[in-house]
Amino acid sequence: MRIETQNSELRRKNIRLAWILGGLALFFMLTSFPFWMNLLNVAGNLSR
Amino acid sequence: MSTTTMTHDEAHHHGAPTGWKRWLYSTNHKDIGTLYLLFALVMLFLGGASAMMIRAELFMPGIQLIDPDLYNNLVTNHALLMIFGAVMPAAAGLANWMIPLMIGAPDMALPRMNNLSFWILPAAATMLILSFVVPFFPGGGTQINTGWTIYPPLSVQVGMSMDFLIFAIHLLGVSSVLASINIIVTLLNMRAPGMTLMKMPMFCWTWLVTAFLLILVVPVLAGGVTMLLFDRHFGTSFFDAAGGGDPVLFQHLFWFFGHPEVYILLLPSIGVLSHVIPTFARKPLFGYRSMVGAMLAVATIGMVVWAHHQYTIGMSLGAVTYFMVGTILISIPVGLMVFNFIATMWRGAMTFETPMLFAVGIILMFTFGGLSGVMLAVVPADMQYHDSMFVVAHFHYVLMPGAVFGLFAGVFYWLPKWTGNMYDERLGKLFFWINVIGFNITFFPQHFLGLAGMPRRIIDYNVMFTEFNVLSSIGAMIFGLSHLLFLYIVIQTIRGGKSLKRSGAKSWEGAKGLEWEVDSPPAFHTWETAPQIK
Repeated sequence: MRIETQNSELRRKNIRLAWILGGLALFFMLTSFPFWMNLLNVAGNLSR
Repeated sequence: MSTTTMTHDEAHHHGAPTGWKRWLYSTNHKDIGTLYLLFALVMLFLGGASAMMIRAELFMPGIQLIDPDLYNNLVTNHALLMIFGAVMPAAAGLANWMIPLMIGAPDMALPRMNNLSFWILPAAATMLILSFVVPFFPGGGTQINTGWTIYPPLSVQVGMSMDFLIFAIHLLGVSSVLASINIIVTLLNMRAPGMTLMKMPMFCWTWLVTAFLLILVVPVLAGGVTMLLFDRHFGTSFFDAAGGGDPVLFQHLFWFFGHPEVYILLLPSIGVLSHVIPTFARKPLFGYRSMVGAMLAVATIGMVVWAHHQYTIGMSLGAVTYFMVGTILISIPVGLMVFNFIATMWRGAMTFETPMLFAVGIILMFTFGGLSGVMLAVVPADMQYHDSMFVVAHFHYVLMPGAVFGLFAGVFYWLPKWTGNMYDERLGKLFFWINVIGFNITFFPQHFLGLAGMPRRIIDYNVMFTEFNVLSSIGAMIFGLSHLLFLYIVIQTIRGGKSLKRSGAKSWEGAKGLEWEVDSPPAFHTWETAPQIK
């Protein structure tokens, strides 16, 4: 059983902000840039 | 399972669900807060047991009880269990319990994600403990002998237990990021009408900053350990110099996370102090705005000084100068916070109940840890102290008072609110004194050991270090066992009984804030109608 604690507008607002923050976290992970740089190098070496 | 949605009016008579489903399926911030706190308590004892084994081994020179690999494994696990298992979940437990009560919100903004954030933790803890246990089974490989920093190339060579640890770090990271998102959304979107950001309780402010720090730095650690995993199993050379990589790169990635992590551990406890000290000094917090500013400054500068952990790797003079100056600059906002706490106490009508005893102890011991931190920030001095027991003494003086004692203060401060029972004040004070004296006997001598040249993370030591090590180990046993008294006090308070006084809605005479407007213990659902803040 769930208690209704948020109206639909607030829920939408909450979920939107959560996605933005999740995107920020993902951005920080992916821009630990050497990961991608070296992964590209590896991919390049494999295709050679 | 179908979901029934109730309106506010219907919900008034809805009590707590019963049985195991109450905890497994819980979306209630108080229940999830309790789960976090219980989890942290279990991890505190596991991490403490590994610390006591380390100190038992170091009681005398020579190899006495355990082999060197197990010693290093214990050092690694002690750190990981305490940081990721005990302190962070305990702070998250306080946040879950108190933030909605403090801002007048009925619950966290994303209650089901809150459930997920917690229930990832037991899985992560299982992986973490497996990383410790697996090497004891046939084919389990070598033990994790890297320390919590898991630097390559050693961490690339460790057996499969490192894979368990990497997976555990990923899970812990996911849990932390989800919890942080939830806390930020709650604080930004769920505050009661009229509660502007600058009217928000200081504990909420500290958690807002902490949550942002977590979102910014935990993903970088996740990236780092993912690369480590690739180096171990998929033929990449991110950290392998022979393949064109650089092991120092991992150190940068690790400490980009690791240094802000110190503030992640500290700030929630600073938030607790910001409530405890005004309550028992019976004065408003001195310099609310400057506290917020100082906290933001600590977080900002703390993000860009990570390489002071790496002075000995051979950076350029310009780089080490930058990291040294930046690190010393942090002492200004931290000093401001300490000044504000002292100014709050100044001419206050102070009483010294257990939370206040911890608060005063924190100010003294944390300042001491901060001073040894300034010593370590100075490059030429650090070259001498690096990887010595001085560093161990320093970070325990920062993290035990700064983080753990702050959490103890918070538990004693809010336990009457959570349970409806006042804890036994006499036992609380006894716990404080045994705990603090045990702590100082353990770690104060380690400064001298380090200055005299005893390295850390080594199982054996020169006989010239024996006396201080004996003292430190005796202190560690007192310190470790004192936590059994803490456990007893908590259980006694939860169970209640005739010997304990009941707590009213306002457990402390000088307490102020929305959390003291609701009953003790609070109803299962609180603030279903938002309060109006003037």
